[in-house]
Amino acid sequence: MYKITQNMGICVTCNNRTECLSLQNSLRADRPIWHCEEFDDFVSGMKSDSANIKKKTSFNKPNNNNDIIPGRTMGLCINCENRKTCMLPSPTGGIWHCEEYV
Amino acid sequence: MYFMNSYCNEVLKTVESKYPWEKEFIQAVNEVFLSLGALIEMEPVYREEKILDRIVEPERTYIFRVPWRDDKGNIQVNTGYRIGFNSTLGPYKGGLRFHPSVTLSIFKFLGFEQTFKNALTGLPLGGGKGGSDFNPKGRSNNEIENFCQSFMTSLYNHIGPNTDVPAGDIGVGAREIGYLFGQYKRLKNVFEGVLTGKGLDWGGSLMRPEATGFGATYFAEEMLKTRGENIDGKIVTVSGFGNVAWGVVTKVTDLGGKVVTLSGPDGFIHDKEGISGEKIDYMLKMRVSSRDRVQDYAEKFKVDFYPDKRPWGVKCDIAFPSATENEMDENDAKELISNGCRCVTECANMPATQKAMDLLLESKILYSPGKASNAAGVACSGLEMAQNSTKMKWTREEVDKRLRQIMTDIHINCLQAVERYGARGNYFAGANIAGFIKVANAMLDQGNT
Repeated sequence: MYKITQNMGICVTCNNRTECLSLQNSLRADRPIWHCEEFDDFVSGMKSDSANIKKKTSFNKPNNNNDIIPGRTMGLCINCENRKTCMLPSPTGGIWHCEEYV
Repeated sequence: MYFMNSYCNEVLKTVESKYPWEKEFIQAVNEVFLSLGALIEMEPVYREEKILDRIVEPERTYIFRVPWRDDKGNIQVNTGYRIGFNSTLGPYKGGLRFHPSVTLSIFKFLGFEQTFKNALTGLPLGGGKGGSDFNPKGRSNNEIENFCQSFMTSLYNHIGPNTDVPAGDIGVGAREIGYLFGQYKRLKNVFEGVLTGKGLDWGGSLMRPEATGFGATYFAEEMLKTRGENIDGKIVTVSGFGNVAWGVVTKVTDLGGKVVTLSGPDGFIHDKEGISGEKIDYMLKMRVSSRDRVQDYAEKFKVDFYPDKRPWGVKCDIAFPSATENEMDENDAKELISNGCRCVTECANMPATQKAMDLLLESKILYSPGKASNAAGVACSGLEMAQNSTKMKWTREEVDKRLRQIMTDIHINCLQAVERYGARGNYFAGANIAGFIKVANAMLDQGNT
């Protein structure tokens, strides 16, 4: 692991900095790297990313499996107050217009 | 060929005394001026009209606060920059970089270089650069979106399709360009080509991912033609395995060459049979996997893998360094030369160290600097601007044809420049001189601006 210094240029945040050969050349020549096609600061499994996705899709969804009604897993029915008692048929693609949606 | 003429020296000294803390910018000015000595001696008008004094000073510099809210609800504050370096040839054009290492000096250095690179393309593009010290690493989508919107809220009044057209760079990819464009459109109430690198469905150009690699290959083909050769049948080594390397491998294979290496941060692979067909497609899979390993290729196709090494020791006719700045040192250059390599075409930005470059130039093999041979990337951005302003979308073939013509023209301009100013066949000097002449002569035409 290299000691992080100001002279590392963009490598400071690069995931490859511990093994990168170009960085070795760069440090030897005291020339920080400012251009790189292999720069990578991707962080997989970002906690806040997944939380964010969850936030965007978690609209009053059923809390447990008991709340999910067979045949009413899509469309408005998914969180309708009447979903347990509704007698209207629900097609495969779900109901998207309903006067009785509550 | 390389000497600091007295006028260059005076201007360099002025920059050093005026901005002593901007060491990256001073170094960039020094390196460009070293190639210009002969030209400045032969053309006194540049001194009389103080072209160098003017060209080292950005036309405008905009520094602004970028406040944004993180996922915990805390306010964060970053600094935004946009340098309009030179608009003599067209609207400022250059990428936005989001990275904690950036400073005003870095943006001035990058903007200064961008000015000459853009000029080389022959397209109406000025030079600029910008970005922020914001660190995207580990930030959520939501935070990136918040940041981009705040950044654009401060910047939108200073950019436009005929003023300044930013693009992406490190830390600014398709996602960020989308957020920035969306906010610009919302604030300005216009849909116009204010950014390049846009999505294909909303104003982006075809061929952008492969442009740099294709363009570099066309440039290599032009260089080889000067010695009565071409790519057909040649053994080619390539470093990297990203977009640029992928473009090179694809085009070299199309033209009949055989690419035998790829590299990653973990080492390089040597595929003696050549990388073609499904192997090229596999490069894309490796990229998408975000594993940053070329060893995966070696395991899948049962080829040799050399950990912690670069591919420059492999015997080849042509080498395309396509990965990183400083990836090729003097030992690599010596090996390439002694192995009979006839052409080194830089696809990455400044992949050869100074010592490596000196050796390559001394050896008289064909060597082109990145600022010339990888200019197809920014040229494709210029073509995206042209498509946006005419509200048209060109086919792949149309874009490719224009890119090829642009690379051929850059090659001719470099050659003519060095022949006139006494360094025949030196593409490094040629690129610096040709780019400078275009900007400087336009400045002369446009008066004291």
